Amino acid sequence: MKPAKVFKISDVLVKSQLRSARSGRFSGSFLNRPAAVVLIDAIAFTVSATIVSRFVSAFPFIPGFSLATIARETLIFLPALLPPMIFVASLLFELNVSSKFAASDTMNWLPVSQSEYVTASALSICFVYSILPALAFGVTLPIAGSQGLLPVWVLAALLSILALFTGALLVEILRATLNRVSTSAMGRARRGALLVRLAISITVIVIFQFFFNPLALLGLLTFFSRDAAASFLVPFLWPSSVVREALDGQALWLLAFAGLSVGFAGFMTWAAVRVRSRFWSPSPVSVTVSHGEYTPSSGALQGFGFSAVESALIRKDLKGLTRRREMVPFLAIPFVMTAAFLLPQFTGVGGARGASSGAVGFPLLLVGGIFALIFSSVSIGQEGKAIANIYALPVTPRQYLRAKAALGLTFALAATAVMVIVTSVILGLGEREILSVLILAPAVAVEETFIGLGFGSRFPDFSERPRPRFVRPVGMLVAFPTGVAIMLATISPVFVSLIAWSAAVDIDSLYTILTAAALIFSVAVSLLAYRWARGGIVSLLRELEV
Amino acid sequence: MSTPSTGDANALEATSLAKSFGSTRAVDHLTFALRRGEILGLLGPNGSGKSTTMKMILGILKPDSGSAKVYGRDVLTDPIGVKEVSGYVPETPQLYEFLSGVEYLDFVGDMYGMGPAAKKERISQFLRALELDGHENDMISGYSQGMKQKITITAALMNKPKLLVVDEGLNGLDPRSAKIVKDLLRELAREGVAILFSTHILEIAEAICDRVLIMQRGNLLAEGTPAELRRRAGMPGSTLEDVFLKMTGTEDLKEVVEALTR
Repeated sequence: MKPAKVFKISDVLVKSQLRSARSGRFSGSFLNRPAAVVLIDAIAFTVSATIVSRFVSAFPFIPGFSLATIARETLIFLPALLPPMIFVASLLFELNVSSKFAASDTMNWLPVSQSEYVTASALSICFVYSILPALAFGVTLPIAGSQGLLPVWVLAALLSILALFTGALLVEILRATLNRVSTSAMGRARRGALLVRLAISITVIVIFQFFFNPLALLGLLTFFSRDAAASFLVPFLWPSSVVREALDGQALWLLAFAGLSVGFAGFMTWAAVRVRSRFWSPSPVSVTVSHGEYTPSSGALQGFGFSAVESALIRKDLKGLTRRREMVPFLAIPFVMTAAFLLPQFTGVGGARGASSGAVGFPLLLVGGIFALIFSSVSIGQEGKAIANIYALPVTPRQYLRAKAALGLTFALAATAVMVIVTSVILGLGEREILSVLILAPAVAVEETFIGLGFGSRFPDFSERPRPRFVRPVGMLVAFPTGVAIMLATISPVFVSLIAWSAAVDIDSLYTILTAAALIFSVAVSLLAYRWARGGIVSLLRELEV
Repeated sequence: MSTPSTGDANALEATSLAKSFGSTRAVDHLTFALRRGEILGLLGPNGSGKSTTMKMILGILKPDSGSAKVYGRDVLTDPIGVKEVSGYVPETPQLYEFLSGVEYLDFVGDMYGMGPAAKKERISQFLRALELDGHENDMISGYSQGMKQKITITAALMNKPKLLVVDEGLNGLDPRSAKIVKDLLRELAREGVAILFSTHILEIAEAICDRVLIMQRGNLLAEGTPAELRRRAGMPGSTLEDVFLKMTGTEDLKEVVEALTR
């Protein structure tokens, strides 16, 4: 392996991530350069460190709750928390490598070894998401400093970077595994095989999320063994064990865990290279999606009030969802989020088991809304360069919006229906809450779909790169907090009711008023978001960006 | 420069079309007309503004100034109306690669509001003629460049357009398919379809175009039949390629080739 070559490939992959503007007009911008990432990291680190240092200096005395304990726990968990964070981010943004690029990746014909590519790709993931450790380091530095633990902080930071790299390697393993699933299913060349591939891909993502989440692993092991020492068996927790032994002054154990951590990173590199070597398919697979004579498409959807144009757009997008590898992670979102929210309930991690089921079940209500937001916001950018078809064909903005909204709403409402049932069971909701959830959860799906379409039409990313994003970063950065804030406001009556129930306060009449107010709020937001999305699509379809 | 006539015979009238990208003037107040049943060749070096002109005519790009009318429909006020009577073969096929060839054509047929019988007849005819039958149910992602081009050409002709805009339409086609498409264009023109055709292969332009426009840096350099252009350049008996190279000031290529082989 030649380090110079690894860094060059990594540099190219990072640039490919950063230069995703709709046109080439921003290509010279400083923000498109890797140096911008370093600058943003430095700002994030400085700002978070400054804010937390103010907080530390004014930390009040609370019996049984000391800054020393906080410092110890944050330093120990710092290396354990970063891999899951990068993993979830990668699920959304790194596994979407389009089959077009998987098949014609320049790396396939350049003299680049698998190990060089895997290492470079993992490094590029670490670099692109380096704002996560930058923030974490900024938060922990003043806390550690106040307790005289700076040397341990340095150790924790180094181990965090190692853990981050290990997490990125896990993403590489998952990427190659999904490629194998994809090519195996595609090789069968049947329409059913495409659906099988979709199901297997989602299952693989959920399993990886479940079994490679260190907290979940610890929880599961603890659950089965009732032994806290089970953490020794979780390699992703070894870097945390190094920090713990450093804090406890156990030099021998420190060295042992440090050796294990480095060894585990080496093993993961080896495994990622092996998996890629075995499973990566550089040649495109020819897929026959149907057999027999061509039968013109039916007008089944026209029975639901859609025009022929809208029906064709919906059918086209539906086929894309089931056939495009880069769309799989988006379909997996409800499953991954549900697994993430339910894990503590079944494993008892973090003391959640036995705690109020409301705390666990409430986030489930948001799954449908978050899915609607992300799904609809990527629904326009996912057209890629083929969006040129929409400009060349006689499609009106109204038809385009109706088609996109219909498909997004169908999926979002389906996810919402499942979540309402699951949540009602977990929360043990009464009739009053169930009624309000039945009213407000679909309202959330509707408002989030139009919010997503608004952002998706105003910040689309049609660039076809190895790792497409479909929405420009600034759009997603604004869309997500906006959508979640509106979602929380809409669903707040259920939350208020749960708190009142916990506190044994009767809020019967207030609850009805709150629900009605939330519904009116949601309808108003939906109408505004619809108009905003319509304006975005009218503006988008006015002229093709070249 | 000619001015467009306003008679009914004109399928397309472009008046003072202009478009800039940043500081680059891609098309500089271009005016021309295309008659029904005529094949008009749009020639010019790379970056001369041919594709931009075609896109403006179809409402894909918005002109900075000027206007274009297709069968009396203004592209600025009625872009959907213009698209309904037009077919477009882009320079590079941009297809939905997750669809099979036949699914893509079915999609395009629906966009034009075609009925099932019309779609089936049209798709079957073209698949057979362009030798795509046998591959029609394969996903487009597995198609060769030439197969994608055939799908694009079929899609452009699905709705029996009255104006056909072909931007480098013969790229990647095998000789048999290229001959079929050339003959088809002539036949369509005989039936009254107006065709705006750009190509870098000047032999093709000479063989099928009734009239030629030569563009350079967004401007109209010359206009006329190949014979008229030869006469105007003072090069009777030469090929259109020689005339083109002379007019665009790139005729002396010997030094360039020598430098490259050094």
